[in-house]
Amino acid sequence: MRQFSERRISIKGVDEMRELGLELAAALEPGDIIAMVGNLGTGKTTLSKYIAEGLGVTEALSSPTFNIVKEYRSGRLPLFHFDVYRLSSGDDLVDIGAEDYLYGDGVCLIEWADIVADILPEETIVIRLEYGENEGAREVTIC
Amino acid sequence: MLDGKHITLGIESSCDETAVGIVADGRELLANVISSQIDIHTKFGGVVPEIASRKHLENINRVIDAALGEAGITLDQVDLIGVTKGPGLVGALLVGVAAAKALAWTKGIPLVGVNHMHGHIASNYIEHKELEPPFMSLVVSGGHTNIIMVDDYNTCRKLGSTRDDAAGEAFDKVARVIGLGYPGGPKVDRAAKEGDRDAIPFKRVYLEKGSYDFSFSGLKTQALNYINTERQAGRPIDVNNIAASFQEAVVEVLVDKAVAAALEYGQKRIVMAGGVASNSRLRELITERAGACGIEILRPSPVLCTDNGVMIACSAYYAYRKGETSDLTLDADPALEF
Amino acid sequence: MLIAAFETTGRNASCALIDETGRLIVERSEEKMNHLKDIIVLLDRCFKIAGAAPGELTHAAASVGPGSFTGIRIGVTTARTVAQAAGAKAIGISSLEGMALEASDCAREAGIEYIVPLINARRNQTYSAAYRLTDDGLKLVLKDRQYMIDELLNEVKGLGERVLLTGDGADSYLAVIEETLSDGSYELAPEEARYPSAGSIARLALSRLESAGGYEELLPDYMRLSEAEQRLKEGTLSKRIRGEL
Repeated sequence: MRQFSERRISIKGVDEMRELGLELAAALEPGDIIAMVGNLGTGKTTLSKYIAEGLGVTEALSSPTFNIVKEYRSGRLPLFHFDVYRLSSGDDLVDIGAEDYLYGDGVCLIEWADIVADILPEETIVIRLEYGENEGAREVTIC
Repeated sequence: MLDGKHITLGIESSCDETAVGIVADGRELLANVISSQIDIHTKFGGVVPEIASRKHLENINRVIDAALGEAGITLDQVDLIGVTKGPGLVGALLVGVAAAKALAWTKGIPLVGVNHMHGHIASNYIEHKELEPPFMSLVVSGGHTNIIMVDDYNTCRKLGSTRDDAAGEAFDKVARVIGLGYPGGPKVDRAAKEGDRDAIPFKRVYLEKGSYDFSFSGLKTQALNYINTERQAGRPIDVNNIAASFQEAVVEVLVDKAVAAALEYGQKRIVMAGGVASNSRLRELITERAGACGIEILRPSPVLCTDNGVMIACSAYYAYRKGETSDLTLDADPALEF
Repeated sequence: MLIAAFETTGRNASCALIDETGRLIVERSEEKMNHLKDIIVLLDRCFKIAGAAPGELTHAAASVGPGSFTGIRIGVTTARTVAQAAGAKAIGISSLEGMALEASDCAREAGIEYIVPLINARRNQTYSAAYRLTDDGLKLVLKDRQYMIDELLNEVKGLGERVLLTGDGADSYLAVIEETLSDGSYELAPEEARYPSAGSIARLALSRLESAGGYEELLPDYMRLSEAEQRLKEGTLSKRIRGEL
């Protein structure tokens, strides 16, 4: 598993977000877990879509808020896209059988990962998203 | 069989509910049992779905029993088992599929795995006994937003769907931010009645010309930005106005696209399905705009709009009639498409 | 009497049929993590080999865990519902005890009295227990629960006996096992006896029919401690998520 050292990136708009997503995707390996943290509207799903694109996933990524997790197997690695917004803790995530995904051979992207941080392994890659100064801008921290 | 009628038992456990329904000859409702509604632990005066998958396992057998009791039959009288095989949450789906396979094998009766979306559409066959395909359909729920051309029973073409958030989900998230609680849809609906739908001119997102796809995440962001700006400026938030304006922006796009699709495909009926089909403003506006074009609107009663086993039983029945049964290797498919 | 047993807590699903004479039929899936797809096919095969009909079923037994959450649910739901539909009773058996029984022939051959099954619970944890082989069957000598691997190995050392280790946890934690336990104090069960199998679940069920109950009473035993109850060493993840690194 690849360990990213802390990086801060100022994103001006969607195009740069896309570049970032594609770049991150290229470095992903089986078993990688990405914890996405940020408020409503900061771009977690948007960045997830670009990462999926970078992995070569052909299906459109839509929000998994309702189903908690959606699977995509058309890319170079299986992608498991989680949104744990509706859960209250890591125990809930384990309860739905998520450990089979987390310790499998695919890549897990977890939106609102702060809610379930208690059960995620130390090697999890963290991406924090915040609003930037201008509309469309975002501050991204990867560590 | 019961009184010469074919009996189907349908199991639905794709997400939050564990539900079993029993129908006679595909359309006659004999039993409709939904776990959350017989659970005495609903603390909040509304349906609070239980996320934990462990509940499905604890519920499934007693819900089956309760349904048989309600229909006044035993398992020996059941001719066919239907079950949602997808899409949905795998931990939930597997309980339904495992139970369905166990029933089918033990009793030596056929099994049909059903697409949850077909199920929602089929809820209208129970409600409207004379309804037969083809027709246009608008399926809107917490997890799905689709415009579907129904050509035949269980044979559809998806004309458009959401590219990001489902409509119901957008309602839930905005509701939460304005402090209305969960589930957001019904609460936004209620608050909107007291508000002014033109108060805040949220931008409607139609995407490219001719597309029947939807995109609600931009609208969600607009609503959030608006609320943040008002809060930061110290101005009071008018929850009812936000609810009404937001709802209008969602509903208008749903209605315009559904009606446009019906017109393009020469359909005189739009059949609604899914939890959001209960939204009062959606019903009002679609009836008005469709009516102006001579298009009839059909929808299930509220209890059949949300997830239930009856719709699965009905969908299974029609698939069975076409010879489409599943074998003992039936698997849950959380990512099932049309 | 006819008992069907389901074991879906490990990587390969299996199903078994046993009658009052102890005649045992076991069918196992070749596929990993394919439990839902396979389980009824395996059951059907057992019945066909036995020449029996579903209605003859008197008991349905399931391996209730610990192990894979989704796996446990598939087996338990299947057993409950088969029991419900056939009017049969239901019995729950611990996956750890099943694994110990599965490895007991090997233990006897090696002259070892103590069997320690380990199930990988991730993040340096294991579901485990220790059983002693007696003429009366397996006796639990170390509580079956979730352990930190170091904790478990210390308990094993504390037994002061040669042990037979079995289970996927023995595979995953082999390095730390080799470091902690002295040479000669342990052996690893051979592969063919190292993983859960419905045959052992069936035999255990047959030996405790008095514990059979209604299908409603058959429930999983996840044995997993909640996060609050676990005392894991805090890493950097929470700080990185909160931006406090």
